[in-house]
Amino acid sequence: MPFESGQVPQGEARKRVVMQYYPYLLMFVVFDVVGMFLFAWGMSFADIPAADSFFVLLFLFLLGAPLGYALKMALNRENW
Amino acid sequence: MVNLPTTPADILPFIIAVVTSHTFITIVIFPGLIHLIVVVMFLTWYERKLLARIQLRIGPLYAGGLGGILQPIADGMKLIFKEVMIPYKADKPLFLGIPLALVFLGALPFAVIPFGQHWVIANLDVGLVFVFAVASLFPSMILIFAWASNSKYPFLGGLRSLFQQVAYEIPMWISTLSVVMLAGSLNLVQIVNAQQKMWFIGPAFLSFVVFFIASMAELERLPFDLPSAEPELVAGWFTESSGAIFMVIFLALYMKLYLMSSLITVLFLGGWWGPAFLPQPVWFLLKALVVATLIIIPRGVYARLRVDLLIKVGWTRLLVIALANVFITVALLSTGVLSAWGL
Amino acid sequence: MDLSIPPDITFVVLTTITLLAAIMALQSKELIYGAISLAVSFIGIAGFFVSLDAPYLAMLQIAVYVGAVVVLILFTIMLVRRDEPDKDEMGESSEGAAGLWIAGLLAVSIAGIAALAGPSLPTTPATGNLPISQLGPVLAETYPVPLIILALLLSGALLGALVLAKVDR
Repeated sequence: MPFESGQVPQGEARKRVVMQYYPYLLMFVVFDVVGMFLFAWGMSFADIPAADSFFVLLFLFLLGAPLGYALKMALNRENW
Repeated sequence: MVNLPTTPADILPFIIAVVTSHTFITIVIFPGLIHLIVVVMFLTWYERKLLARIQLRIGPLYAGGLGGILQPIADGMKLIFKEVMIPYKADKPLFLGIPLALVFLGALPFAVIPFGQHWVIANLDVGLVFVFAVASLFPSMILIFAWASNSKYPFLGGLRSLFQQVAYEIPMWISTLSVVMLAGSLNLVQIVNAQQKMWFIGPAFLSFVVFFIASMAELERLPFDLPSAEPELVAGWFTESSGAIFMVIFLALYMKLYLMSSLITVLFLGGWWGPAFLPQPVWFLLKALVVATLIIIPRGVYARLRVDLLIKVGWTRLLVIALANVFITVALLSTGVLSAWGL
Repeated sequence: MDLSIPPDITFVVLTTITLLAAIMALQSKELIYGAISLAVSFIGIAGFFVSLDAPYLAMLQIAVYVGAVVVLILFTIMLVRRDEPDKDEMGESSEGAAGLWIAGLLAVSIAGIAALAGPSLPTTPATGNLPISQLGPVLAETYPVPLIILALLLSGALLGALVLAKVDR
C-alpha cells in the first residue's frame, strides 16, 4: 500500500495538481527557444559585425517587457 | 583499423588490439563506465564523511577498515537484498523502467565531457548544447516516476521537483552564454583550450555564481531540498522506491552531481590546465572534487528554502541577473578589456 | 527510382521508431503512455536531423520539444484526468481499416507522382552544407528582421497563453 506515515491511505492519490506554478511552465517553453537561438548567436559573436549583434541584443531586450509582465501575472496568486 | 580475425590464431591479437585501442579505453575505462561507477561510489562515501565532519560526527567507520571506505559497497549490497515493493495500482512498467532511464540519461552526457586533451569519448561540435538537452529530460522523467507511484507524497514531491528544476534551467543556460561568447564555440574541448591563459571564472565570475546556484537547485541539494525534504514529504518523489530501485535512483542522483561538478570545471575552472607536474586528468579530477565539495558543504550548513519562494527567486532574481550578465559580457568583449588574455 | 541502392539502415531504424511511437501516441489507451510515446517520436525526429547533418537542430528539438512541450502535455494530462478510469475509451475496429485505406491512397498517389516526374527527382539526399560556426552569422546577418518579428511573436504567444489560462475571480 502507498506510504502515508503509518496511517491507512485515504483519498485519490493523484488528485491535487498544483496550478500555482503553471505560468512558469509556459515561460519555460518560450525561454527555452530563446536560449537556443542565443547559443547559435553567442558561438560566433567574435565573427559578426557589431551592427548585426545589435539586432540580437535588441531581440533579447524586446523580450524583457513581456518577461516582466508575465512575471507580474505569475506572482499574482489570485490569477491561478 | 584492425583486421577482423580470419583464423583462430588471429583472435587473441585481435582482442588485445581492441582492448588497448583508445576508443575502448575511453568508453569503458577512463572517462567511461568504470571510472564513472568508481567515482560515483566514492562521492557517496565522501559526502557522508564530509557532512559528518561538519556536523561534528565521524561518519562511516567500519566497512572496509579505516574510514569506512567500502561503505558504498556495503550500502549497495544491502539495498540489492531488500524487497522491492510496488505500491497498489502503481504503474509497473514505468515504475521499474524509469530509474534505469534516469541512470542512462545521467551517464550519457559524460560522453562529451573532456577529461584531458584527448580523453574524451565523443568530441561533438555541439557538446555543450548536448549536455543541456539531455539535462532537460530529467524533470519530465521525475514527474512520470512520481505519477507512476500511485501515492500522494511522491506526486506532490514530483510536481515540486519539476517546477524547481524547470525554473533553474533557464538561468543555467543563459549564464553559460557568456562562456560560449568568450570561447567562441560550443565544443567543450575548445572551451577548455580557450582557458589556457586565464580560467573563465575571472572574466565570467557572475556567470559562475549564477551557474553554481542554478546547478545546486537542479541537483535538489540543500538549501534547495524541498522536493525530497524529509520532515515534509517523507522522501519526496522517490518515497515509494525501495531496494534496488532506490539504489538505481541514488546512483543517478550522484551521477548528476558528478556531471555538474565536471561541467563547472570544464566551463569555468579551466578543465585540465594546470602545472605540468601532474597529468591532465588528475588536475581535472582534483578540480571536480573541489567543486563537489563546495556543492556538498551547504547541505550541512544551511536551512531549507520554501519551494514557492525558491521558484520565485529563480524566475525573478536569477534570470534577470543572467540576462543582465549577457549584456555585461557583450560590453566587456566589444570594448576589448579582455584582449590581454587573448579573448 | 534506382532500386539497386540498398536502403540506409539508419533511415530505416529511425523511421520505424518514429512511426511506431507516433502510432502508439495516438492509439494508446493510457494517456501517459501516449505522452511518453510522443516524446520517443520527437527523439526519433531529432535522430533524423542528426543524420541530415544538422546536429544543432537536433539538440534544439530535444531541448524544446521533449524537454518543454512534453512536460506541458504531461502536466495537462495530470490536470485533466482526475477520476480513476485513467483509460481512454476509443478505438472502434473500423478506425484501423480507415487508416489503412487512407495510407494506401497516399502511397499510391506519391508513387504515381514519382513515376511521372521520373528522372528529374533528386536521388541523393541533400546534406546540410552549413557548418555550425556559420549558423550564428547567417542568423544575425541575413535574418535580423525575422529575429525581431520572432521576439514579438514569442511575446505574443506567451502573454496570450497566460491570459487564456488565467482565472478571473
